[in-house]
Amino acid sequence: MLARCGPLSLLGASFVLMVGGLGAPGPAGLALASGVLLVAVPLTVGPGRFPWARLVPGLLAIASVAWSNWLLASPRSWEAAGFAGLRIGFFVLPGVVFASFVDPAVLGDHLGQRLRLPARPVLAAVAALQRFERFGADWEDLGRARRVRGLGPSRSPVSALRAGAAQAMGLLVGALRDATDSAVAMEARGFSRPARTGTPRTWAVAAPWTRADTALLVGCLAATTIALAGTPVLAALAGR
Amino acid sequence: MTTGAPSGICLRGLSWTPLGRRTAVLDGIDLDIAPGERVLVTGPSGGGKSTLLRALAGVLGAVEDGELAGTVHVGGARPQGGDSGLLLQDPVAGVVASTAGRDVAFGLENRAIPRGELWRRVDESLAAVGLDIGRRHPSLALSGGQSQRLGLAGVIAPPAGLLLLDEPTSMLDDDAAAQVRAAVADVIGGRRTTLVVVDHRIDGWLPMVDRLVVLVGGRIVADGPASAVLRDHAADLLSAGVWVPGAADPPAADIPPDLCSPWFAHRPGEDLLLAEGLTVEYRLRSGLRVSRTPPSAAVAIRGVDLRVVAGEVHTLRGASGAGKSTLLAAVAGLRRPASGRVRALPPLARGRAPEPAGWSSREVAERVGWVPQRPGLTVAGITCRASVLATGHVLARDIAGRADALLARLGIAHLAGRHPHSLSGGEARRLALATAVVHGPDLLVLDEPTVGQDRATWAVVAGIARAAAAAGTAVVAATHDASLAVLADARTTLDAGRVVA
Repeated sequence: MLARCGPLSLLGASFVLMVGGLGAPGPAGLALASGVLLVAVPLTVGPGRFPWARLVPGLLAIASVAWSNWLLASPRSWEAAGFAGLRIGFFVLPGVVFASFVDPAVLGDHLGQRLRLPARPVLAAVAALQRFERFGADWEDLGRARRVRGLGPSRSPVSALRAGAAQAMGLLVGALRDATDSAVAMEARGFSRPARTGTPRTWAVAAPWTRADTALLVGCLAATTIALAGTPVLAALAGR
Repeated sequence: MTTGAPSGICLRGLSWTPLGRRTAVLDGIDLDIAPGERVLVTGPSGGGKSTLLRALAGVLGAVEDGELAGTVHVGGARPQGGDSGLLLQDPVAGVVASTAGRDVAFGLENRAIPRGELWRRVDESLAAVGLDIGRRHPSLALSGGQSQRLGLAGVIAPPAGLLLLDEPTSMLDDDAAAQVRAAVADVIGGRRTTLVVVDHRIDGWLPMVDRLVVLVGGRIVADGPASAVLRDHAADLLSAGVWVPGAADPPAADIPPDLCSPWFAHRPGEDLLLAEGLTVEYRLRSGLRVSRTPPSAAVAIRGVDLRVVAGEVHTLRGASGAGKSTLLAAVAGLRRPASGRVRALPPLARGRAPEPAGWSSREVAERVGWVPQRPGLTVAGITCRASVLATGHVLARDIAGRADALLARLGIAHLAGRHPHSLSGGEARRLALATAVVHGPDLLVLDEPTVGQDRATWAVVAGIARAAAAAGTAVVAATHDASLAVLADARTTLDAGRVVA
C-alpha cells in the first residue's frame, strides 16, 4: 500500500506519529499504539523486498536513548527508560519506512502542485535530493578510478580508512563541481524562465491524492489517538 | 517540435576571462548571424568554442565567475537561460531529472507547455533522436552515446529560436551520428530555427550549414560561406587543426617510445591477458526509494572472448550501448565478471593472482592505465601536473621527466599548474591520457580517447597509442573514430553485448 502513497501523506503520517510519540502522557497507551503499528506497518510495506537494514540506525538511537535514560535517572527505572525509548521508536521506525517510499521527483510534483510552493526552491531541493541519490553510483565510479590509479585501499585497515576519507573528500568535491554543471544545465533549459516572465511553469506529472494516502493518514491518526488517549482511558477502565 | 521565429545574433567585442585566469577564453568576438542561418563553428581544442555557445545561451556568468565584456544580443535582446536550446559538451553533466521522460520534459515545463502536448513532444523528441528506451528509464543508466541523444531530445523538445549544439555526435557511431544530424536537420527545416553547431568533424554538417566560423585562441580567424572558407583558407584551417573534408587523416605523431614504454618490458606479440566467455552484468540503481520491483540486472556483455597482446593496438567498435566501456572496465580489473573470466597471463600477472578483479589497487596501477569515458574521473590533485604524477608517486616510479615531456607533446604543458577541472573537454581527455600512460603500465585501456580532438591533438593521441604499442604495451581502445580504428592491429566489434566481428 505504501508504494501507492504520495510523498505528502508519507511525510504527513510521519509527522502525525511524531506528535503521538512525543505527546503520549504515559507508557500504557503508547505501548498499545506501538503494538498496533508493529503489526500494521510491515503489512503496508507490501510485496517486494524492503531493506530492513535501514532501521538499524533507528534501533541504535532508541537503544541509546533508553540506556542513557536508565543510566542517568535516579532512581534507575526500567519502566521510565523503556517509555523514553518507545517515544522515539514510535515515530522514528515508521518514519524511516515511510520515507523509503518517497521519490524526490514525485515529492517535487506534490510540493509544487498540491501545496503550491514556489517552483524554484522546490526544483532546487529535488535536484539536491537527486544529487544525493547519485552518491552511490558516484562512489563506485570514484572507487574504480582511485583503484586504477593506485590510490585505493590496500589490505590494512589504516590504509582503508585513509583511502576512504580521501575518496569521501573526492566525492564531496565532485558533488560541488557537478552542482555547478547541473546549475548550468538547468539554467540553459529555462529554470529561471517562469520567474522572469511571470508565466508559471507546468508540471509534466500530476500529483494526485489517492485513497491510499487517506488510508495511511487516517491509520496514523488512529495510532496517535491511541498513544495520546490510551493511558488515561486504560487507567479509568482499571480504576472502575 | 521546435517552432516559432528564428533568432538573429549580434556579438560586439565579446570577451570572457574566467576568474583567476590571465588570458581571455573569448577575445573580442564580433559576429552577426541572420535569423534562420545555420553556422558551424570549428577550431582547435581549447579555442573557446564551448564558451561561445554558453555566451549565446545566456548562461555564461550566470553560474561561473569571470569578467565579461562586450555585448551579446540574441533576437534583439540580452539572452537569458532557456531562450535557446543548448546541448552541453558533457552529456552526463546535462542531465536534469531522474528519468528520461522527466529529463526531456524539464524544458517544456519551464515553457509552460500543457501536460498533453508536453508528453506528445517528449515522445516525438525521443523518437527523433532514435532513443527507444521509454520514458521511465533512469536517465543516468545510459551509455555515453545514449545520454548524448537524451540531451539532444531535451534541447529540441521546447520551442526555441536558436539551437546551440556542442559536439552533439562526438560519442556516436556513424549511423547514430547520421540519425542525430537528420533530427537536427528536421528541427531547423524551413529556417524556423537558427543553428550554431560546434564540431571538430565538420564533413557531416556541411550539407546543412550556410557558414563556417573558425575560432582560434578565442578569436575568429575565418568566417564565410563554408565552401569559400574551405577553398580560401584550406592551409590555415589544416594548420589550425580543423578536420578539413577531403584532406587525408594526419599521420599519427612520432612520439619517442621511451615516453610511453611499459615499466616491465614485453616481447611484442606475447599474450598478456585473455577474456574467456566473459559476461558482465550491472544493476540499475534505483536510488534511495524502495521500488516494488527489485532492481533489474542488465547484461552489459555476454560470452565475450578477447585476446590482449603486447605491442598491439586493439580497437573495440560498435553502436553506443553495445558494451564497449563495460568490456574495457572488466579487462582493467574494475568490474567483476558474472560468469566467464578475465585471465592475466604470467608476463602480466607477474606472480599475482590471474584475475585482475582480485588485484590490490597498487597491483592494478602497476599494470593498467585507464582513460575513462568521463576524463575528469581519474583526476587526483589540484594541479594537472600533480594529478599526472600521483600514481608514479604511489608506485615509487620516477616519472617526472616523462610527465613533463608527455604534457608538452599533448599541448597542455602550459596548463600544468592549472586545476585539472578548469580544462576544456579536449584538454581534459589529453590530460587523462597522459595520466594513464605516464607510469608505464603494461596494459593501456582507452575509452573514446580521441573525442574532442582537433587534427593536431588527434595525431598526438594516436601517436601515443602507437608509440606505447611499439614499446611493448598492450593497448585496447573503445572508439567510434574510424580514423583511429585504421591504425589498429586488431579489431573487435560488439553488438548488444556480443562479439560480432
